[in-house]
Amino acid sequence: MTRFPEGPPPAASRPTKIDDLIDGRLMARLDHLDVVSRKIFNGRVQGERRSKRRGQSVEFADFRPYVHGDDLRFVDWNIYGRLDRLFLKIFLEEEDLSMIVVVDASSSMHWGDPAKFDYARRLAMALGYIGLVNQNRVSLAAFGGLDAEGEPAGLQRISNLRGRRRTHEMGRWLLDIEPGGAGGFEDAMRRIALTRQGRGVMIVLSDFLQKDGFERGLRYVSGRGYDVHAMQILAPQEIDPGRHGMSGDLRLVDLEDDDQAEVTVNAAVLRGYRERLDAYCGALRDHCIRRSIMHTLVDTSTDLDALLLDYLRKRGLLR
Amino acid sequence: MTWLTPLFGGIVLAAVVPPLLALYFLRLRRTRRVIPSTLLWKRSVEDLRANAPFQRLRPTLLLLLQLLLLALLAVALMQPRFDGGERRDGRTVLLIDNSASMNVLDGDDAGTQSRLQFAKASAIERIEALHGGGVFSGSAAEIMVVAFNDVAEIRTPFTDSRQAAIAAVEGIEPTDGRSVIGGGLQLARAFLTVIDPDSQTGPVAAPAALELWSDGRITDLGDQVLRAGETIDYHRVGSMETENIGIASIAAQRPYDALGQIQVFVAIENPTAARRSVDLQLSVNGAVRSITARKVEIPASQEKPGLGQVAGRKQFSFAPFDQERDAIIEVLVLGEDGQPIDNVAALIVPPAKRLRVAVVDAESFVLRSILEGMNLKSLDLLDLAEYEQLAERGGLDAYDVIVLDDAAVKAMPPGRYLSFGRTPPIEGVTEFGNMATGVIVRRSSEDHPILRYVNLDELYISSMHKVTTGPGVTTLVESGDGALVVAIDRGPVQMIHVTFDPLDSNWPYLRSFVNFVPNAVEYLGGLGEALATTGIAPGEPIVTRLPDQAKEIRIRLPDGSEESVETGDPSNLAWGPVRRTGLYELSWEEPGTSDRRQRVFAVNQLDATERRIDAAESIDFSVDVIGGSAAKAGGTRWQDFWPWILGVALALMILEWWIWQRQSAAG
Repeated sequence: MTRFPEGPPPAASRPTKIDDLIDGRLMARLDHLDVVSRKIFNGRVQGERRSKRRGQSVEFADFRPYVHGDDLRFVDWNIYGRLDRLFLKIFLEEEDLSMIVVVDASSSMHWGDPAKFDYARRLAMALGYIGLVNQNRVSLAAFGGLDAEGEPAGLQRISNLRGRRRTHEMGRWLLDIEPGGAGGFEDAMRRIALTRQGRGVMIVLSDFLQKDGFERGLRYVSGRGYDVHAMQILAPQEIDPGRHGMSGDLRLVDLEDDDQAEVTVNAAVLRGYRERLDAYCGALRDHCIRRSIMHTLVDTSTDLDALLLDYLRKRGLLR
Repeated sequence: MTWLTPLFGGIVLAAVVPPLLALYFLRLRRTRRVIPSTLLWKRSVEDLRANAPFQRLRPTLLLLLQLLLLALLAVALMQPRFDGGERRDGRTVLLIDNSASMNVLDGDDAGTQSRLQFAKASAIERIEALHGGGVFSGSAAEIMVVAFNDVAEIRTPFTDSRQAAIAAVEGIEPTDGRSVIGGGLQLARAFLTVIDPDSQTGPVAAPAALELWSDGRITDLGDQVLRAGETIDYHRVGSMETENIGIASIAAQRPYDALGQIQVFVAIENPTAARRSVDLQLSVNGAVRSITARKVEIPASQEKPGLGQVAGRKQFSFAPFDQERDAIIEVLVLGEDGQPIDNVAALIVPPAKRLRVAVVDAESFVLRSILEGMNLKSLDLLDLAEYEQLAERGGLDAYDVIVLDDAAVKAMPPGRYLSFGRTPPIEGVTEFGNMATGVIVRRSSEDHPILRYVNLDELYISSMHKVTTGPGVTTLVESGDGALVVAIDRGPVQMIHVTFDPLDSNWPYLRSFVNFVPNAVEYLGGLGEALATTGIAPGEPIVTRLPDQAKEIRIRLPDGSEESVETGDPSNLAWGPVRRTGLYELSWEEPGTSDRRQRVFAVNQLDATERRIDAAESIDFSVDVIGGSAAKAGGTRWQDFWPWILGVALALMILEWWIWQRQSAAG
């Protein structure tokens, strides 16, 4: 059992090279996996999966009436000759999968043993690697982090990675994220939604401990063509602080906004906290279900191999 | 109910309650912990609201218990107690009689408490009543405790400590001594005397209140006078009806013509107003030898003009009985009365022995003839040179009595001497001036054993040595020119000295000389000692002479306990003063012998004042008559509440701790 952390993990314990994020053994085991979308999306380039987008593929799907602005190249002139009306030919295309992994790099993630942010980076790296090896179009985004000057960096992203050879680039980008800012979840989700390119799978890695609420942020990305997975990452010390030595008269300081709460930790208070945590996670889960978002609670003490190879496969995110 | 220090408790209460409430108002001192988000904690912890500064104070059981605890502590500090009555500032001397008569078991109505026990309880009650302050009070009466019997003992000098005064009273032990108050008054006055170096009038005796616990039967009361400013309260202890008879004197004698026999004489006194008849029992070495065939009738006391109440007296002599060896003689008055210790008297009779006598420089044929006519074991005639040689090498121990017949001896080694003429070289007798001539006897102590049947009316002395006497010297016969016969007690040296040579007088021709010489020799040799010995009285020391080589000296007390006696000079041993009556057995070891040798001493209480045990209604000082009031004890005694309150507070504290533990564990 680990002791209750007194602050963010020391820099020495943070991953510094790609091998720290994903090692060769795990990569070999992940080579056989692929990301599953519960929906069929159209991609930007021809990929390895069937898209609902009717386009330039050879597989005919349907006709629809021409409207102003349609590409005249897809007008079925034969029908026009016969019926004197303009129809467009619609084809089903084999398209690639767009996949975006959003990592919460706010201060609240930079805590725990193992640290939530490091766990999220390793998970993002593994998921991204699965996307790359399956020729999906992989984008990564991070919000709440700091830039080189230590200022809030806003939304950081790397887009449109494809193919195994981009693994190193993706890993380097993840390693360069500096956690430590405050919040920004809603703004990040809004910007991602506005700048989305195509449709696909979105995996949000966060603890979702947003004081201004997670609802509006998730609303931006839900129902807009994304198959959203909300993976709530919590440290074991958050889930059961009593078991990890949290007791006594404490002044609790919020990592993000320095807000303080004075607590005399006893059995009753710990029990109340657990009830609140369960209620909070339940509210997040209910919110996700209502918006067809898959919610997964991840304890950072869970072995990453087991999470990827077993748990997420059962949950249907991977296959 | 009274409060000794209410202000103090109030101040403490005012000082500690606000901080306690403030502790409940104010935040606790907390450990800083960094966490990802306070979101859930703020939502879940009600405690957060309670810890906000100066929010509404929520009534909690713990707070109530703590307030109650503080209130109890403050009440304890106020020192609540029952008010026992009068309080008096200033100095008070408590005089407590612990003489023999205070051992009578009529202190309370049930007869289970001795007078001394009752007096102590009453005195303690009085201390608590007198004591003006408690633990935290600055003003308190000063109390001095004096216990007196034959000797007075300061149990505690003036103290403002109630505990010290009570402990002093509780530590007073019973004795079988006489009741002599003079020493106690002197001690009290000595402590009351204020010596002011700036005063022109000398030491000033501060007035004091004296309080006396006694049965009023005090030997020297008539010799005492209350000084100006002194007051005395007499707390009468004991019943005024208790009756008692006792042995007034005891003696034993070996008849001159039958040294192997002992005859015992005893006198019984009855200080009560009614005739009494009792049986007497005689024991020898612990075995009952005889009991009187008929009851001995003792007349009642009588009021005699000028003498007051005179006790009835009856003398009784037991029939002589054979006893060659030494014996412990005990006479017991059978039957019960108020004071048991004077119903028994003991006496040690030395073994029948014939004396070894030496005469130094014998000039008087009359003296030699008288000695030769005595039933002595040996009679040696020594000249001065032989005496000095024996004195030098310690050979004089072979003689029981040494007679110096106008001998100019230089040394006086330990021994017993009968000296005539020249003044011996011994401390206490100093010759002065020229020889006195034409001397006749003016006064003689006829009750002394050596002057028994010695009529000196016709004695005429042509010349005598004029001497002055010092301490330890008793003049037995006196003339107009000084002492004629003195008894000198120098511990290991006992001497009867006659300050004239019998040949310079007509004494050798008088019958009194024939009686005097055997009396003196027997007295010094110890044969006549028993006849005059009434044992040792309580309050006196045991003084005896042991061999120089005596070691491991121990004394067994009447109660069976044994004490070691430390002395640097066994030849001049003194132990005591003795406190209780009975037989004291002194034992020691000598080199070359395996058995311990022993010597027994009898301590008897034969004092007439102590025999009278009915409590006196008043005590008569030589000037003042002080009426007494019955001492009170066992009634409402001052009770301090604060120790009980502290006990309750402690229990409350434990209860609070237990509740806090339960709340912490179970929420």
